[in-house]
Amino acid sequence: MSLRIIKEIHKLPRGQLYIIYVEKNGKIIKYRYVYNGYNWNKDEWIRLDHKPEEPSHLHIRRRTQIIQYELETLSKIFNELHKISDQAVMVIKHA
Amino acid sequence: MREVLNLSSMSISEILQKIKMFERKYGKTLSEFLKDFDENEANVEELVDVFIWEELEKELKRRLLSPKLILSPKDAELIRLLSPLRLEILSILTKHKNLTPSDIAKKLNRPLGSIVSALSLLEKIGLIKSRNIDGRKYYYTHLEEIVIKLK
Repeated sequence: MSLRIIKEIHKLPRGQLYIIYVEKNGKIIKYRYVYNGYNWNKDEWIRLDHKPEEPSHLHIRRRTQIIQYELETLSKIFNELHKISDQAVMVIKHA
Repeated sequence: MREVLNLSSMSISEILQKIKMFERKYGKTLSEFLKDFDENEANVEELVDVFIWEELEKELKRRLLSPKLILSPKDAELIRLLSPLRLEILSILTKHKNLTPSDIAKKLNRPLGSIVSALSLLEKIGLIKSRNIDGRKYYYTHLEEIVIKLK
């Protein structure tokens, strides 16, 4: 049996992406992607997690002032997230 | 940057060493760390570390709970801890489940004090476990065999 933990750090144009995953017999069984913008605090991030038997989940943690979004803005954000999360989960599924 | 930890080819000592590195960094064991840890409040470094730390602990537990413990020359430090008395205690615990320190002392005809300290060390390195029943501490092990591989 082969069991590995792999950690990758990628520098992206606006921030750093940490990829950590567990690979069992060449198959990824668990992963965590954490993105941190260069101008964000260390406790602000976007994180995509996956564990076996659990739905993959995307968390966004950004410090904000009181949220006063308009419905239109919120709808844009959630539409975009919907698209992006579909793509992200698909990429992992076929990795 | 890419780092690979090949868990399947790491010795128990190497896994323990990595775990100790995290324990030193955070000044606590994983279970203590997780008590105060909230994934939604954590910083990036903690999110990365805890993911790796949990996998290392899981692999260590898997190996120590297996009936067959495989040690390699890299585990010399652990092998050194297996003194004749500690091996005798392990052997007794494979035959009789749930023994108190005084049961073991009687069976081995040894002073209770040395049995207690041997049990505490064996428990600390994870080769035996204990449970409290009616205020008395009982020891047990999942081990049946210890294999020392020379290459």
